[in-house]
Amino acid sequence: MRRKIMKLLQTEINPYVSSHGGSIDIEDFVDGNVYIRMSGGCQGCGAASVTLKQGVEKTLREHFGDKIKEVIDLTDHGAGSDPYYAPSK
Amino acid sequence: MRRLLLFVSTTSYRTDAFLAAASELGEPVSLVVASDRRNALEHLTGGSTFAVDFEDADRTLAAVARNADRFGAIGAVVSADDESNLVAARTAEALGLPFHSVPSVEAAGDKLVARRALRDAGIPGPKFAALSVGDGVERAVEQAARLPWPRVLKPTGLSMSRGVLRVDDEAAFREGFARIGRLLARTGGDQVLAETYLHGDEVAVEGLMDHGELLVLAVFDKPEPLVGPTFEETLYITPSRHPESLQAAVLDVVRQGCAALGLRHGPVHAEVRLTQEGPVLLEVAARSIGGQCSRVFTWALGQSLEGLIYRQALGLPLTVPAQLRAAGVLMLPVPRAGELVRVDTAAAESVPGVRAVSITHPPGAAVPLPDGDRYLGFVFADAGTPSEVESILRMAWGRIVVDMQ
Repeated sequence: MRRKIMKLLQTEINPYVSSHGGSIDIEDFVDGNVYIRMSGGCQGCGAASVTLKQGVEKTLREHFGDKIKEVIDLTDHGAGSDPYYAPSK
Repeated sequence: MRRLLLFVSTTSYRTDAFLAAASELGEPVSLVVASDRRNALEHLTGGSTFAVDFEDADRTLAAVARNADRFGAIGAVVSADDESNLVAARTAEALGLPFHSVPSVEAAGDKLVARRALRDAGIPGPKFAALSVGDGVERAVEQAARLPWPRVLKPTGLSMSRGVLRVDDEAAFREGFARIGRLLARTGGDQVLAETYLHGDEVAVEGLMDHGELLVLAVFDKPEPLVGPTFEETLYITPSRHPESLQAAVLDVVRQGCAALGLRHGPVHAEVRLTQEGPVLLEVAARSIGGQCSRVFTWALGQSLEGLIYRQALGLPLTVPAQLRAAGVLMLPVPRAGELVRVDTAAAESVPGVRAVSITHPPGAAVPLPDGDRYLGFVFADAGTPSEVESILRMAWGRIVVDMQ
């Protein structure tokens, strides 16, 4: 399953987030929970949670249905030095 | 399934909290997100995420209608920020959904329009004069001549204390006016409001207007004196330690202010000065508290503010405890402009009672406060009493090491 998710991220997700200088990788898959890490322009990006919830999670559910419980972001967004959209007030 | 349309700025600190709250409502809710910039995965979201122009309500309405074919009818509208408030109000009006009215959002979003509306409603406030950067400083000095010193200069269209300066004499007035002019050259806008400075403590009120009635969520004390020359927010502690009679008077002026501006349905955030003559409403915004400060409600109310905002927008029952748990937030001020090398929070995080520390600037970031639009970070705490919360936050503050160059 982890390999399938990795492949989906590489073929369906990362080609698009790379246009914002970002990348999303799977760290683990345990009991239906997908642990991911964002880097580059995604790390610290103000839109990262929208990308994750509305884009990545939705796409994973469409492909794998109930096998996906939750997508959990392990990224240290505070350390993102080059976010595509820097959060502000 | 209920569909909720969330307007949120792409760079908002609030996005994570609003997205998380949608899945914690205990009701199946489908979230549709409209932001001011395009998401990289927009094409994969089935129309549930799309970009709109916050400055162009007509185009936004067209985009909502276009995407509605894909995601279905919208049942509620919520706005996360000042920037998205007006298009949210226009959209709610067009869809016949409850929200603050368009004129009330316009009034609350402009400090001069709001000040005039409050004055016209007979609500006590500072003397003021409207100034224009384009007219030059000599004209500004002339127009503000009748105001006693000290004074406060404010850009009329910015929020979160951005560009707000206390000036104690004409030299400071001229310097401050020029500084705001430089700020407005970057942000846009021309109008500046000059007001008499009001002495006294300040409190903030967080609430939800519900069909014209104010549901008070919290009164926050601001124990760090806000005396200028700039007015960066730092400590917010709830519940308030001011006498109940004074708090009741505060809530009265907030209610009057909301009525004067026409704010009837949705979140409100008010700032009130406690002068010797009584509470004076500085301003009331048609939105909830900014930055990451809303996280304090997780400890104070045992539920997220964003969840409450959603529940109200969806017409779901609201349950708010009568007694808040003491909690607070420190908005971490930037010591000076420069490049951030690192922020060491380990010692602060170890202070008993500190619940979370969030640094929002990455190493290497240029930090341009106090005229900037970002905080360095946030510290959250809770405890048995508001005084304990204040002590915890001050102790944590003292232990945070900010290294800048």
